[in-house]
Amino acid sequence: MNSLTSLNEDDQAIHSALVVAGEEIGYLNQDFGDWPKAQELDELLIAPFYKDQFWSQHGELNWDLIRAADYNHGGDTGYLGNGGKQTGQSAFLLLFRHRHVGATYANQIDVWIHRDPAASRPTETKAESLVAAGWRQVVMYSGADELERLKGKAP
Amino acid sequence: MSRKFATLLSLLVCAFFGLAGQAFAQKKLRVGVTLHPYYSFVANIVGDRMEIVPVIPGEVNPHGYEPGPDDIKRASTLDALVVNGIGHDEFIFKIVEAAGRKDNLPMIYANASVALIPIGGERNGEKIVNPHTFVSTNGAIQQVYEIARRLGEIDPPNATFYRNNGRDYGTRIRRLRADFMQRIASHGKDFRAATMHAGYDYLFQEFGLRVAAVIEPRHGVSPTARQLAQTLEDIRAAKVQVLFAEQYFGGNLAETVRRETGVRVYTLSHITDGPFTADKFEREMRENIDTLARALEEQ
Repeated sequence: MNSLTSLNEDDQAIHSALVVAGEEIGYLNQDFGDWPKAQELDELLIAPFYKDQFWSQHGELNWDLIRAADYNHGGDTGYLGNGGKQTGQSAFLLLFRHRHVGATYANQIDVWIHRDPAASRPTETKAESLVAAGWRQVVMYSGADELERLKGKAP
Repeated sequence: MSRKFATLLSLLVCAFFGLAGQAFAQKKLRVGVTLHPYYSFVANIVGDRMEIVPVIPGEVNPHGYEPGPDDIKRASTLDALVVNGIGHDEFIFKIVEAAGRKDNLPMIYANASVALIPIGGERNGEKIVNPHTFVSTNGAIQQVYEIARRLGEIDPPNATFYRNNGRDYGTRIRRLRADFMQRIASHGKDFRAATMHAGYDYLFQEFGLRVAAVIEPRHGVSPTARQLAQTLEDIRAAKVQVLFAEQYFGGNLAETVRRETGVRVYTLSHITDGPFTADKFEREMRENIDTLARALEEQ
């Protein structure tokens, strides 16, 4: 799923906000050694967790920290957003892959969506398990991608 | 060597190395910027630990800008350069090449890690990438973090300082957004707006507002009579109430749209004109937010 071309307006807005939230959560984890709960992200005014008009215009997703990487052994951390009320919107999964304390940028942030807005928390977060359960990974179209495209077009 | 001379010599040696050390300590890296928001972002990240160099004058229109010898001279002395890279500052590539720095100037592409979105409004299903990532709040925070990270790689002794400043600045921008969201909490549910050009799609998306139509087919390019007629029809059909025009790029088009459709017209800042200052981004973004809130409150 390409973030530029394959998402509807609601999903695209939530995806854009999640990318920035992913950075914030990474910093919070670096600074405090813990994973913030969805309610704490709301209190920190971080979209799409912050319950403002953006949140209500885009379906009032219920966000939850569904798994947190173990402090010593790493593992995945995940936030699930489901129960959206807008027609055609997806459920979201924000995943921090194999996070270890102090190695924020060596790790990967994934965004996955499920066409069923009521999708429940996945039992496994391995890619093949998520795909089997109907989740699809969003491939972000970033400024770096656009630069590559423009370079390809340059004479 | 007499004892007196030896003492004098050692004093001179100390003085020389002391001065040299001081000069070395005071040599700041020079980081270039192309657009006003990037000046503000970098200034808030580096404080006084780098020299920030706007590559082109602040008062010129970056669209279609033709570089001059002074721009090339400035670029030749830089240690790093912060650019948008996907639109609005295309001139920089000519300047860097003319300065002979194409292969040895570290380029910081501010929106390398920003999720891009298409230009808003109906465009027959075509998705055209919107380069206005710098007229935003969340998008701005992402760029501040990207710039802080890259500057930290270029200047490792100050990496933590840049990171922490970037975090503080990002928090201020987030507060700005939250203030607006609280102010419009009871408005905006059925807000239908058009914009003169596609400069505000990121901002509107972050605020949960929808752009129903964009008048200009491309930035600075007036629509043909046929395109305009279609856009006016779209505005009427979508029951658009408000048109946001551009503060720096005037013209009669907004007045034409107002007369034909009855929309109320407000102006927003694109943050790409005037003096380069550290507070410009926050100041003009706050003005934009005030304008947006007023448009919502007056609907």
